[in-house]
Amino acid sequence: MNIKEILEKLSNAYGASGYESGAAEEVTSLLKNKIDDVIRDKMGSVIGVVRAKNPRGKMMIATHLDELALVVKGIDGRFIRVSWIGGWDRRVLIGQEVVVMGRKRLMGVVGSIPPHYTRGKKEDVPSWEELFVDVGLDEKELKKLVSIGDPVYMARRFTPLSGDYASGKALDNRASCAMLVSLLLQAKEEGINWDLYGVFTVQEEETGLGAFTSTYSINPDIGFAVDVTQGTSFGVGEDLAFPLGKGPVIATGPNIHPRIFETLKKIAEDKEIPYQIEPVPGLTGTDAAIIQIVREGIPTGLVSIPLRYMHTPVETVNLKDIDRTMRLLLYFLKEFEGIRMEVESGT
Amino acid sequence: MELEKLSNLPGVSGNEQRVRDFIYKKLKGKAKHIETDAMGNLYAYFPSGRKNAKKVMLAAHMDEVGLMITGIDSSGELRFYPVGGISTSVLLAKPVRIGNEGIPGVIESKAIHVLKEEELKQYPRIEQLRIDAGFSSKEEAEKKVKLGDYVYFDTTFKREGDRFIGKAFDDRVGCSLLLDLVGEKFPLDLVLTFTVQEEVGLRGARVAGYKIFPDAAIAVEGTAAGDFPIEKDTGAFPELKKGPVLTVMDRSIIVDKKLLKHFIKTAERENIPYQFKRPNIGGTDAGRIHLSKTGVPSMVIAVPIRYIHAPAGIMRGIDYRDTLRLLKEALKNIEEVI
Repeated sequence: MNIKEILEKLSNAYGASGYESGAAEEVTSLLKNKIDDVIRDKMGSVIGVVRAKNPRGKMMIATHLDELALVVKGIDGRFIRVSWIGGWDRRVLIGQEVVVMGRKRLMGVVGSIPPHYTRGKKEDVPSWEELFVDVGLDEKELKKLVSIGDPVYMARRFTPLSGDYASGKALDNRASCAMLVSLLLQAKEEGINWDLYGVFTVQEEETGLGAFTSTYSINPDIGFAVDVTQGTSFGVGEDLAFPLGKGPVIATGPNIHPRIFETLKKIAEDKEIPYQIEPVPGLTGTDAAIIQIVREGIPTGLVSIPLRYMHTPVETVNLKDIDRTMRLLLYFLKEFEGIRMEVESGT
Repeated sequence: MELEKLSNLPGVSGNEQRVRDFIYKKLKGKAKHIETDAMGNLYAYFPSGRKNAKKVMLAAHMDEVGLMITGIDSSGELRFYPVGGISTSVLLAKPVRIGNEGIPGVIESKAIHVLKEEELKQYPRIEQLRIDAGFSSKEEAEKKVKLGDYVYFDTTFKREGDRFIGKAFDDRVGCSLLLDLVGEKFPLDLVLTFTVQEEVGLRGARVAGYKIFPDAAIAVEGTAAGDFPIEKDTGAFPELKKGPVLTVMDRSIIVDKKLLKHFIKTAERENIPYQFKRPNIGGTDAGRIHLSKTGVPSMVIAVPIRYIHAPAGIMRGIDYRDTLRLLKEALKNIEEVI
């Protein structure tokens, strides 16, 4: 299965923060019986394991599994009132097709007022209180099928675009999950020098729960997060974002162990993998920020895949960037010697 | 009912070819005569064979609202402009298809992380939006996309029980209803008219009205249901599941009272639910047809649809069936009021 096929399955799977089961099952079925072990831990994260013959240590690579969604907060006549899971720009929700995970799946749309009714008036962006989801049912039927707490997903199918581009929902962070699935399968086939724990973490978009608990239980020697980063597009220049198609983005800064950063860069250059560098002066806003401070501290790296239109149902990535990220980390698992914890005195 | 196929076909105003071809194939061999005109309207004639039969025109428009490519940036991103009434509020982060080949693209929407607070509080202007189809340069884009290419929403018809979700219900629902009348016998010379360019100013209907100049005309529409939680001064109407929507007046016509009364009486006699459209909202082909030559008594009947002029609307099958039933019953003796 190639990256595009893996990504299609993962993008179309449903798994909001705290409701990751659907996506977790999809990941599990992609890995089951193909690598050394696949476990679902106590908090819901999926861990795929590939062991080395003579391991230099344990390396954990975390990609968060959860996605943005809406959640039912009440029934208002024929309409469903919703709250948010993750950081939405409400403007993109208007007019989207959705799936309400009620007692059974219900198709619906986020309501929009037709221009016939707003003529001449300036349209205000609706508040969360004004926003509503419509599945076309009457109040009575609705109350039977939908309850407070049911998640509501964007009903967006994965779509390849021209070139190596593809668009869909939840590519933040299923693009990285697809990379990790592919990495685990490839590592098993080619052999590596570190025991690899590929962790598909839960609840990154809300609390970072999965990264805390999985890192604690695996207690790796080296930790990685792979996430998406802002991609350039109209109105979003290279001062804010990274161009797509130019390779993985390697982070450096206080959140990142310098040896990991330097080794990644060297490998990319040796193997002629195009890469970009993202200096992050503070915390990275990813699982890497959490992994680094678990237990006695874990040397941590962060590699990101550029992605356009983040936190919308039309998130867009370049498939080559995903593949290059996979190859970069695969070489790292073969070549990285490890970090010696000693204070070198200069004298 | 051909609504599913009709809804999925692209046919933005001025580019109705594929819808017209589909309808033509459905009518071929069934109508006495089929023709088109300079604008692209399609006419199917069903004469009754009776002498002095009244001529009634049923009009449904084939076009839908959409977008048109108006420019290509050096980055390969596409500029566009709406065709028909589309608010930018429904455009952000929607999947679309471009041109006759249906090249997939998405309407861009900056990530919330890079947006300024003021930007989050208002909808962008159309000039601030782009379509991303995965092109890396203008040269690459120009191989697949041309200026003037039409863009339609990438929405596939879905059905769950009696509920339908899809694009272009305004007015493929009318096209489908007209097709469902084929085979029925009426004491009328019926002209099924499938018009073009309704959404850009009722343009096809103007010439159709002149060409056919019927004794009466009925626009068969998909109309904007108003049963969402906004208006304060009236109840929320028209509503889904409350039957066909009859227009008293909109921004294009004050309908013929005799025709309207006939439909109301028929509905009451046959126990078919009906409701009224909110006055002074929207306009339809009837608004042009009734102005033809010395005038044509005209009216509008419509299926209520929530979220027209947006990527996906919702409607109920029962409203479609009730509208069809009312049309059939009313046409049986409409000649009495013409």
